[in-house]
Amino acid sequence: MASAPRPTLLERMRGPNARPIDLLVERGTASAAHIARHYQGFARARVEEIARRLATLSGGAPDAEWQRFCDMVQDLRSSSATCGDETVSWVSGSWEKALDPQFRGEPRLMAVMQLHLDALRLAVSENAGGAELRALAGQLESVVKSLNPAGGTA
Amino acid sequence: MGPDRADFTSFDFLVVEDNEFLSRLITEILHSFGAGRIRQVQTAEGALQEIAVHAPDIIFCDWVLPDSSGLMLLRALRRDNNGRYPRMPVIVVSGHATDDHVAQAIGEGADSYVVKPFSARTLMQHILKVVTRQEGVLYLG
Repeated sequence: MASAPRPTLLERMRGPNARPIDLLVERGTASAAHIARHYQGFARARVEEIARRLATLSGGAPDAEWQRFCDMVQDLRSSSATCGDETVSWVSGSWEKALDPQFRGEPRLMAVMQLHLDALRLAVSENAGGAELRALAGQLESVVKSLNPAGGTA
Repeated sequence: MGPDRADFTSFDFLVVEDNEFLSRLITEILHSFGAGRIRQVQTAEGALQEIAVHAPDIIFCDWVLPDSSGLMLLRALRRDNNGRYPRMPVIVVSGHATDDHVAQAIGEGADSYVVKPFSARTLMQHILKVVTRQEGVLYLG
């Protein structure tokens, strides 16, 4: 005798324990908010990993090395945004822009990267003040805008 | 009209994410949704091993992984000619929001594409999208 076909995902989703989707989303949102409260400790460790990687990165490093570094910064940007840490997300987003391959030959790139690292360290420290961070954000925006493609000087 | 109630107690989710914080976040959200089983791995290789042991119902897969990438995992699953991997929905989770990335993921067989940052509501919408699509029900979330 042929066995009964396996129920589809939709049939299983209509199971006896079905709950209102809005209620499930509300519970998920509360869980996410609870987890996000612990984000800063994770971000602090991740920033130090980025610092260690930056210390070994040079302008002439292979593309794969640069890509790995970009992935780390991008991962910090997206995880901080998901957890609602706007400052870390903004600074790492600014860093991502500076990491565009067109700026790879810029003589000031390493200094700009160090500035972003300092800003991130400040952002994840417990002593950072809002005014201090806003001033830093303004500086970062200016230096990234001043970077020249293909390594020219401003 | 899409569903307004859901029972995920029989669902088996696999979360492939190397960022341990985001992995925990996705897992906790799925747990809050009432998911029956949630497995976590950090690499594409780990994912293939888990899938070989027991195929999950839905996979959440980060696009950037330490040993290869979500793309490589998708290709391994979708281009498998040996019947090792049954067709299972894959939801790509990525920090890349460009059309090129989305098109590539969908072109390689991803069923949905979540751009980070995401919320619990976003994850729910993507789960409902892949579940209802199987039977041609349109979920407009």
